[in-house]
Amino acid sequence: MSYIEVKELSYSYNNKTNVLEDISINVEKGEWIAILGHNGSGKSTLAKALVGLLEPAKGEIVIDGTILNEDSAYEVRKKIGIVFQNPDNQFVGVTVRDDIAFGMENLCVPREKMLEKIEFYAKKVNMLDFLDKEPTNLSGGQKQRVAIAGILAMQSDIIIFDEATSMLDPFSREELVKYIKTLHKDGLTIIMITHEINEALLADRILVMNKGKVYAFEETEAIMKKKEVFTDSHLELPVALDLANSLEGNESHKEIRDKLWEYALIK
Amino acid sequence: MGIRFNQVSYDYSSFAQGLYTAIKDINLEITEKNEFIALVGHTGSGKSTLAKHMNALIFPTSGSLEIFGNIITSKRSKKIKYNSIRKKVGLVFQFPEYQLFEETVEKDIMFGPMNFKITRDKAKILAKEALNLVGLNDAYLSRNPYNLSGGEKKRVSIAGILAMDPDILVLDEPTSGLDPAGKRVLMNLFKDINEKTGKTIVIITHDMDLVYQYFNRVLVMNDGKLIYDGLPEQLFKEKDIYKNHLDYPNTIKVLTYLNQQLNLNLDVYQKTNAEALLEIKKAVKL
Repeated sequence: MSYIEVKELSYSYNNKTNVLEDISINVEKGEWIAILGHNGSGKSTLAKALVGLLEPAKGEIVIDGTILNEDSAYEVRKKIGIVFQNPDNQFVGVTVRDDIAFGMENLCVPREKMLEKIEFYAKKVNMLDFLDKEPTNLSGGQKQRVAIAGILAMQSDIIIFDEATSMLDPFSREELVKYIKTLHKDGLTIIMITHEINEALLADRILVMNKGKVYAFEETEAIMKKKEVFTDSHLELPVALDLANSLEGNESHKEIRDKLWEYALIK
Repeated sequence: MGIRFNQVSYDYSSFAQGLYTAIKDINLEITEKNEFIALVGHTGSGKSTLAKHMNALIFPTSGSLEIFGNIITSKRSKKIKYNSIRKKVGLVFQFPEYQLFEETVEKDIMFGPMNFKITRDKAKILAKEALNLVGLNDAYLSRNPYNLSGGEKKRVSIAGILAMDPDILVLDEPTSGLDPAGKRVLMNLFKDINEKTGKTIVIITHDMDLVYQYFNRVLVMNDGKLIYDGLPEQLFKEKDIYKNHLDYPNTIKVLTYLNQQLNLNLDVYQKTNAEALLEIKKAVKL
């Protein structure tokens, strides 16, 4: 049994067109999955369904053996956290300390233990010096890291990043990606929705969504060899791999092709 | 003459950070016609502060600006009609889609022109024209902005500014949050508007691939100073732009890697994948 199982999931916002259609995927514990897809392909809807924010019209989601439904949502949500696109949309505390505490307060963690945990996880995301700062004094990347600390403090071990880097400048983005790598090393299961192909390359497997359906779901290297998956889904390959694929089929280009792949897959 | 900065500096004061200088001694000239300019720099480099000066949304702490003949200094002048400056220079903020508020697309686009005392009937015509200019058909006029996709919302909000018919359009990161195809559609649209109407367009961006492919003038801000004003090619030929917190376009990075690893002598200054591919094929043949 997989850690996350999505079985024939469908969803529509107005009972007319399906935003998600017949999605079936499995994700293993500790895996890093990237979800790519054009605007409106259903990526974010899938993310909301996974954390129980939407009730599927059809199909089911099983997380660590528990079927996600109205009764189980409270328990399942402890396992799985989500970091949204806009850092300002999820900062609920007056200070960093309050914000990290928010989830634990809902779980009725005793005060002594909570204080201890806040320090521990603030340190883990490199925000220990900012505990008493207000959100206006933080950069977008710092706010996203505080959101991660809040999730970790609830002992969640699955984190969904829903375009969490898209509002950040290139350097904060790089910093956050670096941090996600360490979370992955620590054994967390990562589901990362992104438009940045270079970020997706870091994942173990890539899921390409197209018009609400799973268009492809394969290991990163394998999927990058399939140019048509990207063109069909209005996506772009990274420059190096687009060049490598265009040079396919000619022996004299092999050395260059290998170097292009090497460049693209440096993690 | 469109906009001229003369030794412009601007100091912010806030409870959080105290007094700090956001931009310093800026000298810059932007012509009112046919320019297509990229404005780049890391977060906090002063890009947005610079942009806000362009339609007198904020006044310089020292130095002065000339915007379509109006001299802007640190003091508000009763002789200047600031409203008319804001009509001439349209500013589109980051994530303008969050600022849509009317119940139909048409009303939302009409809001700007009507603020400038244009009649309802005329505003309706302008709304339609602006909507078509951003590549959306008349069927969108009656739709609720909240039910549009991210890319469509962005276009509607840009149409709202275009409907005011500004001479110069300044956009703060208009392509962020869009998928690659959506990015290109929007960039082609700006280029198209620029070529068809001759409007000068200034675009703030972090995307060096776009800067290289679309623009013929790039302004670089670093620590509040304007440190570069010229052709993108020339900028990327500089040895170490990383020290200014910038990155190189992907084509240049990939071709440079090939040169280093395989001892090749490729000309790395290729704007598109197609050009890069030609360059590689040429080298292998030799």
